[in-house]
Order: sequence, then C-alpha cells, then structure tokens
Amino acid sequence: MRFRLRLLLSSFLLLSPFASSPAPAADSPQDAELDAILTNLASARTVQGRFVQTRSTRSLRAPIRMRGEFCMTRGAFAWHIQAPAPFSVVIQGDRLQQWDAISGRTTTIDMTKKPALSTLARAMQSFASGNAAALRPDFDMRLLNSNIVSLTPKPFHHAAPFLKRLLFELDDSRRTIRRMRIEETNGDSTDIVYSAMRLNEPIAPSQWNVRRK
Amino acid sequence: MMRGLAAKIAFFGFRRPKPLFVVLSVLALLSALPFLFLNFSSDVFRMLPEGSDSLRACRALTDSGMFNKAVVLLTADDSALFERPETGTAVSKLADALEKDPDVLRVECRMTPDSWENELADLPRFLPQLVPFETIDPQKAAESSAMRLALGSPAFMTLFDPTGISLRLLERLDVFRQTSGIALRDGSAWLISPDGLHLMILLETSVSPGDPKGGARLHESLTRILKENPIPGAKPDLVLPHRHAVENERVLRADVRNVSLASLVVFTLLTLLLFRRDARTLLIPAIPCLAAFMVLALTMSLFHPPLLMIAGMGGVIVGLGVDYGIHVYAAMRSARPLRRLTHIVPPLFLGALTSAGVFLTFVGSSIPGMRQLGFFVGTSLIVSLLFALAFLPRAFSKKSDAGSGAVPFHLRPFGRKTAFFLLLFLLIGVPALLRPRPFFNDGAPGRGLRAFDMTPESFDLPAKKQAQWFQIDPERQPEFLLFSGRSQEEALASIPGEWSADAEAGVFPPTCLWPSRAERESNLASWRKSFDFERFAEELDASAEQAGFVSDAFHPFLRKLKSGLENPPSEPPGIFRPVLDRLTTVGRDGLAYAAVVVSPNAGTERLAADSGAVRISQSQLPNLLAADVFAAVRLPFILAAAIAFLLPLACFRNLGTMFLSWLPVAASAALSLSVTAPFGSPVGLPVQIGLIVLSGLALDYGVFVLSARDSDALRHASWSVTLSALTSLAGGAALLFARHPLLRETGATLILGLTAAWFVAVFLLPAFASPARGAFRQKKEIKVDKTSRKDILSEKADRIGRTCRRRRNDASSALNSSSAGGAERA
Repeated sequence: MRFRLRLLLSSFLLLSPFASSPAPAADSPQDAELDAILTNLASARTVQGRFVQTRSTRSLRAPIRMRGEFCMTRGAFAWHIQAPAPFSVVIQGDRLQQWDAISGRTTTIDMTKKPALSTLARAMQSFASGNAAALRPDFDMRLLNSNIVSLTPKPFHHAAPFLKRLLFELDDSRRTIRRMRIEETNGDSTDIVYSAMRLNEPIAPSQWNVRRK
Repeated sequence: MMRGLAAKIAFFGFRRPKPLFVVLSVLALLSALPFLFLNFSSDVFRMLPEGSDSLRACRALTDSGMFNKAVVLLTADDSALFERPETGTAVSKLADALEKDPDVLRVECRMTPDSWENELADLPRFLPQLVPFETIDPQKAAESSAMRLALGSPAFMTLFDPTGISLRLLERLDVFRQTSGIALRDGSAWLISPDGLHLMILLETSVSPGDPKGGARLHESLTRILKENPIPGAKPDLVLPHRHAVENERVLRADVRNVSLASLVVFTLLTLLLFRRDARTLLIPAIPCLAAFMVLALTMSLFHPPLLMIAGMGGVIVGLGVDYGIHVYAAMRSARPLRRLTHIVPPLFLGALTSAGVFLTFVGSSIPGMRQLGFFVGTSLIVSLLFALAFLPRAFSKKSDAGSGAVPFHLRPFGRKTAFFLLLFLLIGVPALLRPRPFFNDGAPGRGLRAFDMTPESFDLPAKKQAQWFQIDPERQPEFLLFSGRSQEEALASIPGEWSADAEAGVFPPTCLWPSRAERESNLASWRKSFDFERFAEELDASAEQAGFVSDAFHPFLRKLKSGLENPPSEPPGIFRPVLDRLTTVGRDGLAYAAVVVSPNAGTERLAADSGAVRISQSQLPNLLAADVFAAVRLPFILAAAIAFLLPLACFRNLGTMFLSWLPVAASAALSLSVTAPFGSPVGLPVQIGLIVLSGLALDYGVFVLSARDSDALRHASWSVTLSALTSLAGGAALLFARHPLLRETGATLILGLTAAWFVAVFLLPAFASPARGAFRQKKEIKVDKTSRKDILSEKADRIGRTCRRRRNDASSALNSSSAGGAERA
C-alpha cells in the first residue's frame, strides 16, 4: 500500500507548481532551461483540475481507465478518483489520509513515523520552494524537447530496477503539466492526462475531505 | 602467644638457616611451574559478580556473536558521489573484497535486495506459516488488485499479493526501522545516510569484540582491504569494537611490565637512600616479592583462569609486605635488637592478621576477580610476615649494627587541641568542602565498562560518527533483549508469543518475520484445515476475469501458495533474511541467540524481568554494572569491617583504643574519596580496591603507634611508620606508571590515603593516646605482670642471639686463622 502511495506521490510532486524562489544556478544550458521550467511551474499558489489515468499492463486484457479530480496548494494536495471505484488520498502537513470505496475504510498515517513518506513530503516542500536539487539526488532530469521533461531514477534508487522513467509534457505556456507518463522496465505504463486546469483559484474546503460522497 | 611464636620463627631462622634456605629454594622452584604451564587471562568480565544481570549482558555481548560487527563508513564531500554508477561499481568491488576475508561472514551494503522482484514473488510460499488463516474474499481480492494496478502499483507487487497479506508483512520491516531508530536515505537502494554524504557497509564477523588476537588480525586485514580498494572521492572510516580489546591487552601487558620495573627501581632507590646503602636491605623488598611470587603461583593453581589484572596488583602487595621488613630492620638496629623484635611482633601480627582477614573475606565474594585478589593479597601478607621474621633478623644481626638504627629526627606530634581540630578538619571539613560523589552512583556518561578501558577517546569516534549519521537520535540507541536456546528454534520459542511488531510500543521481535516452529506449525495447520485451495483458485480466476485481468494473471501466485501449503519451506523468506540474520545468531558458546529490538524507554526493564531475557542497553549497562557490583561487595565489606573492628578490639581489649586505631583509616578514606571527586573521578571500582588496600595499611599504622609502650618506643614506632609509609607510597607511585585506569586510579587513591593515614598516625594519634591520657600507661601497667614472664623470654632470646653471634664470630676467626696458617705453610 505504501509503495502504491509512494509512486502516486512521486507523480504528484512533479506536478506541483509551487516554487517561490528561483532555482539554484545551473551547470549547463539544459539545466538552466529545466530550472526555468521548475520556477515557472512553481509560480502558482494553487492548482486544481481533472485527470484521466490510463494504466496499460500485460496482466490486464485491456487498459484500465480512471478519472477524477485533484487540487494542490502549498504543503497539501488531494487526489480523488471518481470512477470506476471511488478512491481518495489527502495529504495535509504530516498527515496522510486515504479512503477507498471497496473496503470502505479510511486510513490515517502519521508521516513523521513513516520516514519514506515523510521524505516525500519534505521533497514536496523543497519542490514548492523552487529547490530543484531536491529531485536531482533521485533522478536524472533531461529536457527531451521544449515541452517534455524526462526523469530517470538514478542507479542507486531502489525504484531503478522496475521504474524506467517518468515523462512530463508541459502546456505551451509551460505553467502547467498537460500529460504525464510512467514507464516501467517490464513494458507496463501509466498515462495521466490533465484537463480543466485552474491556477491560483480558491480551493473548496470539501476537496480536503478524504471520504467522498 | 604471638611473641613466643615470633621468637620461635626468628630463632629457627637463626639456628637452621641452611635447611630453611633449601626448603625455600625448592618452594620457589615449584612456584615457577604454574607460570610455565598456565596462562593469565585478561577477561575483565571476571571482575563482575557471577550470575549477575550485568555479567550476563556483558557475556552475551561477546558470546552471542550478534555484536561481532564491524562497519565501514564512507564519507564523500559531495552527496552526488554515491549516486554515480561508477561509485556503485567501486562499492560493490570493495564489498566483494571484504567478503573474501576469512573472518568476515557476511557483508551488507544494500537496503533492498538485488532481486527485489524475485524475493517478493517468492513470499506467497511462506504465507501459510507466517500468518494464521484468515477468510479471503476472492472477488474483493481481484477488485482491489485491479484498483492497485490502476493506481500505478508495479504488476509484480500486485499479482503476487492479491490478498494484501504480503504488504502487511513488509510493513513489519518499517517497524524494525522505526524501533531500531536507523536513519537511511529514502529511495536509495544502498545504506546511505539521509544527507547522502555517507555510505555504510555492515560486516558480520566471526571474531568476538573481546578477542584481542582475532581483533588485531581483523583490524590489520580490513585496513589493508580498504587501502587496496579505495573509493574515489570518499574517505573510509572503520568502526571496529575489537580495537578496544586489542589495545587493552597490549596496554595491560605493558603495564604489568612497567609497574614491576618501576617497583624494582623505586624500592632499590629507597633502599639506597633511606637504608644507608646497606645492600642487605634489598632483602626488605625481596622477601615480599618472593612471597608474592610463591602465593601468585598458588593462586594460579587454585583459581582458573588466573587474572592478569590481579597479578598487576603485585606492586601494591610488595608495598604492604615491605612494611614488615622495615619494622624488623628498625628493631634489629636498636640497642636491644631481639628484645625490641619481640615487642614489635604483636602489633605486626595484629596488623597483618587484620589486613589479611579483611582480604580473605573476599574469598567468599561472588566476583571471581575479588576472590583471587582476596586470596592472593591475604595469603601474601601472612607469608610475607612469616618470611620477614624467619630471614631478616639473621640478615640484620651483625653486632656492629646494634644501636645503629637511632631515629634520625624526632617527628614531634601535635598538642591535643591542635590535633583535635586538625582531625575534625580531615574527617568532616574536607569531605564537606569537596563533596565526594556517593558510592557507586556513577552516572557519568561512558563510565561503567569504560572504567576498565584504557583506549583513547578517539577510538570511540567512528562509532559516534556512525550514530550521528545513521541514527534518528544518536543519544537514544535501541536496546536489545537477548533470548538463548540450544537451537535457533528454541531461542525463538523462548520469545513470548504475545510480542508482535509494534511501532507504538517500540518492540520488534524477530518472530514477527519468522515465528517459532510451534507457531509456524499452528499457522500452517489452520490454513490446511480451513482453506479450500481449489475452490479459492477457481473463484479468484473467475473474479480476475470479471475485473479485467488476463486469464492466468494470478496463477504464479496460486502456484507459490500451493507449494507453501504442500511443502512448507524450513528456512525464512529471503526478503527478511538481512534483518533475521542480524537478530538471530549462533554464539561462540554454542548457544543460539535471538534478539528483540526495543526502543529506548519502552519499558525494557519490565519486559526483561517478565521474560527472563538478557537486557543489552548501551545507556543502562553502566548503571546495571554499578548496582550488581555494589550488591556483590556489600557482604564481604560488612564482614571485612567486622574483622577489622573485632581483631584490634580483641588485642587491645579497650574500645577507645580500638576506635583510635581506626582514626588513620577514617582520615585516609575521607581524604582519598574527597580529593578524587573534584577531579571528576567518581568512586568506581579502582578507588574501592585502593580503599581496601589502604584500610589495611592505615590500620597497621594506628596499631603500631598505639602499641608503643613509652615515648622512646613511640619515637621508634613513628619512624618505622614513616619508613613504611614511604615504601608503600613508592608502591602506589609505581602504579602511576600504568596506563590502565584501574591500576592508575588505585595508585592515586593509595598515595592520597597513605599520606593522610601517616599524618594522623604520626602527628595526631599520639596526642589522644599519650601516657597523660592513660592509654599507654594503663596498658603498660596492666601488661607488666602478664608480660614479666615474656620479658624473661626476651632476655633469653637476646642471650641466645648473642651466643649465636659469638659462635659465628668464633667460627669465622677460626676459619680465618686456619686459612692464614695454610697460607703460611704454603
């Protein structure tokens, strides 16, 4: 379960557009462009929108498609899957809450007691503050073209044996992410397409409620 | 009786010197045998009470093999270094080289196994043994798996765990991490610190940290391997607890040599300076040396293994035994040598018997080291006195020596009023001013075992670095509860069944990853009884079909589960091996050990008491040691105190005089305890041993001064006490040359205490026991009639002595004249 959450969080963190300070000086022109993208992504205070997530795996006869909505603000985010079965994750500060309709159970995790999750939360804050260096220890970041960023786990990373890379496609303004793709070493993949993205708009309090009606 | 016995011993020495010498030579030769065939042990744990918790903990530390660990720490300037593939290759090469060392059993430098996927895929085979059966709904399992897959969970994790049980088991590894307080960089497959600057390689070795020879070999070998396999850009540090044993062994052996050499030099110098370059006075230290040598041989034969530390106390024993020789020397230099000799014998015997009695009470102690010490010192004292009486009077019996031993200067005692205030100041003022710490209430960090450790603090630095870099809270190290058994199964079975991996309670038993055989069999039986495998497989297939899975998606999982039900594996799952190998070992004592990890302050004491486990706590061990040693020495101390009070009382037959005889003891204890306190030395074992030796010496001084019959005898007694104090101080000073804190602190305590005892005995005690007060006079008046017969005996002794000297002189003149005649004839 934690692994699943970790993967989800990794994906979401890379969506996060909350940088408030400029990125550190880059070593190469490509690094400079990447830092500019991260800084640009972080310029918004809040972001919310809808998504369609498609999972393709050899184990399934056909890809599974899920849809839902998400919202993010500084230090918190919510990910609500509406179909085919409701499932939600909400992180606020050091507290992670998860609810799924199949079991009907809500699970609360104190992330201070879960070093792995806590590290992700810290990484999120680093990202939110425009600290690109927080991602670099774990991933090799590359700009594939003007709109696509690739993140490959470093050989020391424990996900390296099964996670091939993460791809992020930015919109034309480079302020939001249009599409994200997770490629696994065994050929499986997950595609998340974002839509109806809204920046710097107030987030409804109900969005932070993990248990959906 | 004592005087008669002394006269008999002395006269025998006079009359039969040759047979006595032959007997002594044979005994000395025999004494050499144990030194040839027996080896000394430097096992410091023999200074702990037998059967005590602290000894069990210390023994378990060394015997279980669980702590036979070494750690290589690699430090980089740049956190990116350990992310580079080339660094990974170099680290792997270093790990391979380390693993090839014959003393290294296992090397770990990865947080997750290389074949993470394979290990996880194999876990279903173990489920029927690891957890009791619980009802599984195939439909929910399939739907949940589909959901997990959709959310991004890797396929191998989902397809091999549709029930979610494996994930729950993996959560237990998180509990281990929390309970042990280890801090590692998340996401890294290697053991890297959270800041990314340090990489840790754990080594499991076959060498106990208490094995100096193996430790030296391991240290040399690991240092060489680290040098031959450098990691570019990283600096290595080696955390090797074995270095303490190596260094301690080296220092202790060097100390014994240095102290013996220093004793010899100091005593020779004393003999030359104080005893007027009379070469015969070298016999004064030689006699107790010989006695100590013979008694040490006897101690080695009776106690196994003989302790090197006890042999190191030889310098002190010589200091004690030299006193008797000095008193005999002073008596034989007086105007009426044999008469004075018979007069000093009772106080000498009283002092020797009291000191020996005090030490011999230790023979009943539960501390093996104290037993040896008690026997060695107690017996040495008596043998030293007997040897001194048997050999020295004849050696110092030249006619020309008589009367040559006049007191060179008079040590004038203080007046009663001044003496009273000075005594008050020594007994109450000094302790009140300096406030010595209470007995055994150590509390100083790093003490306890550190009291026996002479390694420099720099030896602890790598371990401190490791804690700082890889522990969430370096000050709060986890504790361990050790369970043992004849087999690993037995050790696991002795862990209470109700203990489970509980992050809240801070407890992590290895049985949560691999239960005892009984529990595994019970779990398996519940699966076999309640689980209809064929039906479950059919329903899961059908549900998987509905959830969109391909037809054989869960078949690998089902095959593994079936195999586990039909042929349950007897070894734990590979994914849990790194943790289990760390927590279960077979010790060098042949026993199997299993350790439960407990967070600090998680009620370890109660858990240990309830379960009968051995508690290993880095922070609590010093307190445990102090409490156990205190409990073990309490009874011998009480007995020793009783003997030390009763013997003088029986001899003086006066309560006041008996108390007076104890004033030097009280003053020496007050001063040595008080003065060590401000220098940061708590009253540890070394100081306690020093105090015991000191009490024996100080009591001797008091008894000797109080036994003086008149002012002339008092002058002689004061001078004898001064000479003996100087020689004992020399013995204590010899210990200051030691590097071992135990020996050095004992020496410091002796020097401080002896000075106080000498001062009180020579300058203060006569003021309270002066003839004006009645102590000596009354004693003299009472003893006059009783001793009149003994005075006649003394006269007889003197007469015999004179006759012996005359005959010897006659014989030598006859020999001279016959040689002269022979020469003339030639």
